[in-house]
Amino acid sequence: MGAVLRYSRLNGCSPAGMDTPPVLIEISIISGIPRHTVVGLANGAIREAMDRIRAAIAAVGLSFPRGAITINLAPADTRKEGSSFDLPIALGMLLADGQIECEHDVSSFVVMGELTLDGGVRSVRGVLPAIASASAVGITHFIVPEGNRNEALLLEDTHIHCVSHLAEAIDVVTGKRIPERPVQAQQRC
Amino acid sequence: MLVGPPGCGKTMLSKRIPGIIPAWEGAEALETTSIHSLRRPGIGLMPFRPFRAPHHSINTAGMLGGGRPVLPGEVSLAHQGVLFLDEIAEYSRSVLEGLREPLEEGAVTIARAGGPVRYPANFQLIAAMNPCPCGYSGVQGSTCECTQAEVVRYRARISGPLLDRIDMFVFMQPVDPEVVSFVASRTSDAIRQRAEQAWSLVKKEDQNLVDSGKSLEHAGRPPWFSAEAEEMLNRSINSLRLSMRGRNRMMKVSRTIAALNGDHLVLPRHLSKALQYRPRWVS
Repeated sequence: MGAVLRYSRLNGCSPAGMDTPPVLIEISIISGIPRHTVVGLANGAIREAMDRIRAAIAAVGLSFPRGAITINLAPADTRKEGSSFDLPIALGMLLADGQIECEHDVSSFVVMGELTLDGGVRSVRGVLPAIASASAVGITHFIVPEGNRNEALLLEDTHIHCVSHLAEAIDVVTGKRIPERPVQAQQRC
Repeated sequence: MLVGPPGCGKTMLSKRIPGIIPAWEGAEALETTSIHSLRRPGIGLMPFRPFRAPHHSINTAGMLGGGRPVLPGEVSLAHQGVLFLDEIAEYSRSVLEGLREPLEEGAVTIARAGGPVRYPANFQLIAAMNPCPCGYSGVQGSTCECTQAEVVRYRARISGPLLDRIDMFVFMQPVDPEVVSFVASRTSDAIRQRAEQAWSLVKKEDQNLVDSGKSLEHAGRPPWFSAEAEEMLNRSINSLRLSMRGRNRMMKVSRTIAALNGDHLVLPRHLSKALQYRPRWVS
């Protein structure tokens, strides 16, 4: 009898430099004494994320997954920084735990956003360069904070979801929201 | 580099520059907006080229970039725009020397344990300073009260290698009171149009060269530089102590002067005007 594999993956981004490729985020939950560990040279802001995520998940009426949670940020030998990993980790945890069902294959999405304790999504740095460098490696679907809307809609050939709350991000994943497609966004100034 | 006595209009002139530089296109605006979004989340597409004027108390990390995470500095925030350094002699030595890399490469590379981070930094540098501590050396109708040692020490704050990377040195004299009461003979719009026309002339020429398979970096004389002008330049290199970098800069400045006059070919008269702007101290 095999244990159910509670696992999910999606992508995030660190705000450093102009051509940084997206970071692969993996979530794995195993039965055991509840604990959570973030690996992959994550800095302090990312390790603090777990407390914000715990409160935000409660704010949308879902529960923090029970078990030993491991969050891996790949590649494992580069430093990851910034507060934009809150949202993708929270979504990844809920997906791995089976509390939300994904309609789309979100493993190809890039998700960025800082969470507030009531589940809100705050704007983060570097959304535009993140979308540019992710597009360059073939990623077309993005979930970004509503506060970054102006810069997020500047690149063509992208599908952008601007969310202001964790509940809206969940709706994106469960297929209840359609993305915005920037059209001829570069105007002559 | 604008050099002149106090109150001659160096700062005022520099602040007018954004009104006369050519507008930019979408792709350029996108790249600079990307850089700014790392410092200001939620920014929209920038409508104008950036004009950055950091105070001279800025440190190296603020000017070139740094911190954790590594964020762009003022030189990158001025990408495809203008970086204005007023009272350039007051900036710290390390900040000024740090400008050499972006002035030469058009980008800064910040080394970190996890790997280097590279930010574009292709800016137009405009600097303003006095000719000496009292401000009146070389000024018509005034006498300089500094000792020779003071003047030399003051000017040495801008190192030779940094001076060599500055395209033009403009000496300004005090404003004649009668001039102030004139009505402006040209508006900013007219000046900007003239600049845009000159710029598109040069861009078109370069595009023609690229299309016909030639490279823009020539070892020999480029087609837009006349043989007479080249002769004049070669004669001047030794007497004016121009480095190779200085020689290339004089060619570019003379090309701009020619383009502003609508000329496709750089003639000796364009070059002699350019040579007047070469970096040098006038006492």
